[in-house]
Amino acid sequence: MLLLGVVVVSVSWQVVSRYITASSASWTVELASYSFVWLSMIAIALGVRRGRHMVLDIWEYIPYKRWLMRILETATAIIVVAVLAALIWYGFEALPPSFRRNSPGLGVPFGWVALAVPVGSVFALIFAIEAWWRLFHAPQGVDPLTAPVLYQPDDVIIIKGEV
Amino acid sequence: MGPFILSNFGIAMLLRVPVGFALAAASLFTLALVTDVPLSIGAQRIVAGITPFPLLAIPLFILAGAVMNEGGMTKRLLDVADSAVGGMRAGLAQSMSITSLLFGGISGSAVASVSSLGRIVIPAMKERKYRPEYSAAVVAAAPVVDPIMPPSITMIVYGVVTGTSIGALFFAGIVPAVLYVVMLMITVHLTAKRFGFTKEAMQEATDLNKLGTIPKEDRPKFLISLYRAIPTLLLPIIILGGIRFGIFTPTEAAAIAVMYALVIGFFVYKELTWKKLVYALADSVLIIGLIMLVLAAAQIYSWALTSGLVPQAAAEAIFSITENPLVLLLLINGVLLIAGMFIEANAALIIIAPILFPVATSMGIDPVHLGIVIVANLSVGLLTPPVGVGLMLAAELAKVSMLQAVKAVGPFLLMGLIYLLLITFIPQISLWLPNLLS
Repeated sequence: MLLLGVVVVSVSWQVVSRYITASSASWTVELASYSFVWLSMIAIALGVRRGRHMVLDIWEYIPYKRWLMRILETATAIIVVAVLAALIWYGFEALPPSFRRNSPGLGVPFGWVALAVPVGSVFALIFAIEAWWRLFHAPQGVDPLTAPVLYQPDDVIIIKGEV
Repeated sequence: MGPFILSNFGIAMLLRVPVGFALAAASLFTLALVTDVPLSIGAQRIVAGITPFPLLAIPLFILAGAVMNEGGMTKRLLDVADSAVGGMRAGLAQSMSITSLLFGGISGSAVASVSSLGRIVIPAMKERKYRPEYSAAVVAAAPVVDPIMPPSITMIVYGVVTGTSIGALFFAGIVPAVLYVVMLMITVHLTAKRFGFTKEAMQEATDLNKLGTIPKEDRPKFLISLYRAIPTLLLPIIILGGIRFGIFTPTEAAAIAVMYALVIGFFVYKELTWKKLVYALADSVLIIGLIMLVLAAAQIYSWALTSGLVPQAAAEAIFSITENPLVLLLLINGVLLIAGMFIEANAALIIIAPILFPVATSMGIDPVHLGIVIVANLSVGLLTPPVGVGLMLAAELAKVSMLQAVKAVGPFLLMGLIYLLLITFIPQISLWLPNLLS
C-alpha cells in the first residue's frame, strides 16, 4: 500500500517537473497519465476493501435486521463480483491488440497501461470477497471495514462516499 | 434502451451496490442483452476514459486540500474570519460561512471542508451555547459553496465530460460563490435569533440582537491573523492568476498547489510532519478511488448510451415537451435536485450531463452557464435528505440525529432554492466575470 503514496508523489512530481523544465516533453504527460490509470485502479480496489464506495443508503432509515443486511450484503457482493469478473475477462481479451500498439511519447506498448484494468479488477475482486466475508461475520453494530490504510488519527469519522 | 439501463441501475442501487458498480453492471448487462457489440471495447474505454490530462487535476487538488488541512492552514483561515466577522450576531456561524468560501478557494471538495472545519467549529459553537442541530445545519450549509468556488472537482468532471473549458468554468464560479456566501450570511443573521441558541443562552442574554457576538478580547487581532494567513490566501490567487495568464493549465496549477502546500506546511507553518503527510496521502488515495470508480464506470455507461442512441432519443423527448430554454433550465433544475437527493454529486453529474448537455446547448444555453447551474444544483443536494452527505457528516459531528438536522436545515434549504433560481435565470451572474476577462 505504500506503493500508492509513491504513485501519487510520482504523478505530482511528473507534472511539476514538466512545469519547471518548461519543455513540452510529451513523455512526462504520458507517464503521469499512465501512472494515474494504475493509481485509479488500485485505489478503486482499496475502496472496495474498506467498503468506502458511495452507496445509496436508504436502508439506514428502516430498523436494523441482521438477516436482511446479510441478504443485502450477499446480493451486493454477487453483483460487484460479477462486474469485476466481466472486467477481468474482457480486460484480458483486450490486451493482445493493445500490446501491438506503442504509445507515441514513451514508446512503451500500450498494453502495459491497459493491463491496469484487469489487474486492478483482480485485486478488487479479492477485496470484495474479503469485505463480504468480514461483513457477514461481524457482530451487530461493528463496522469491520475500518482498518486504517497506513496511519490515521483517532478522531477521524468515516462516512461512506466522502468526496 | 435508455429506460432499461436506468431501471437496471435503480435496482442495483436499491440493493446497496456502490454507485460505480451499479452503473457498470447496468450498462454491461444492457449491452450484452440488447446489442452485439464486443464488450472488450468496454475495458479499452475505461483506460481511454481516465487518461485525459485534465483529469489528473482531480487527484492533485484532492491531495493539495488534504496536505493543507494537515499543515494547519485551516486554523489560520478560521482565525481571519473570526476576527473579521466575529463581532456580528451569531459570530461563529458567520465566520464559518466566510471560512468556507476561503477554504473553497484551496480545496475542491465540500465534504472535506465539512469534516475539517466542522471538527473545529462545532465544539466552539457548543461552548457558546448554540443549539447543536443549528450548528450542524450551518456547518453543512456553508461548505455548499466549495464546489462552486474554484478550484472544484465537480467542475473538472463537468469540463472533461462535456468538453467545456475548465479555466472558464473556474472563473464563472467566483461571483456565484460570493453570492451564495452573502445570502447565507443574511440567512444566518435572520434565523440565529430564533433558532440558533439554547434556551438558557436566550435567558442570559441582555440584548437579543447581539446574541452570539464574540467579545472583542476573545477575537484574534485582525491584522496579525491576516498576516499569518497570507501564505494560505495567496494560493487561490496563484492558481487562478496562473490559469488566467496562461502560465499553466488547471492540471499544472493543481500540481503547483500540492508543492506549495508542502512548502508552506513544512517550512512556513512548520506543522506538517511525515506522519501527517502519510495520512494525507493515504486518505487522498481512498477518495481518488471513490471518484475514479464512478468515472471509470461512466465510460462504460456513456459508451452504452451512445451505442443505444439514447441521447438522441432523450433530445427528441425533451424537444417534444418544450423548446423554450428557460423551461428546459427549470426542468434540468428539477431533475438535478431529485438526483442530488439520492446520489453523490459527481456520480449524478456523470449520469445526467451526457444526456442533457447536447439538448441544452442546441437550445442556445451557454455551456459554462449550464455547468455552473449543474454544479450549484448538485452542491445544494449535499443538504437534501435522504442522502445529503454533507448534512449527514455535520449531524454526526454535532452528535444530533439526522432528523433533527433536517429540521434545522430547512431555512437554509429554502435559501438554497432561491439561490438556484437566481443562478439559473440570471446567466450574467456566472458569465460576467469570464466575459470580462477574456
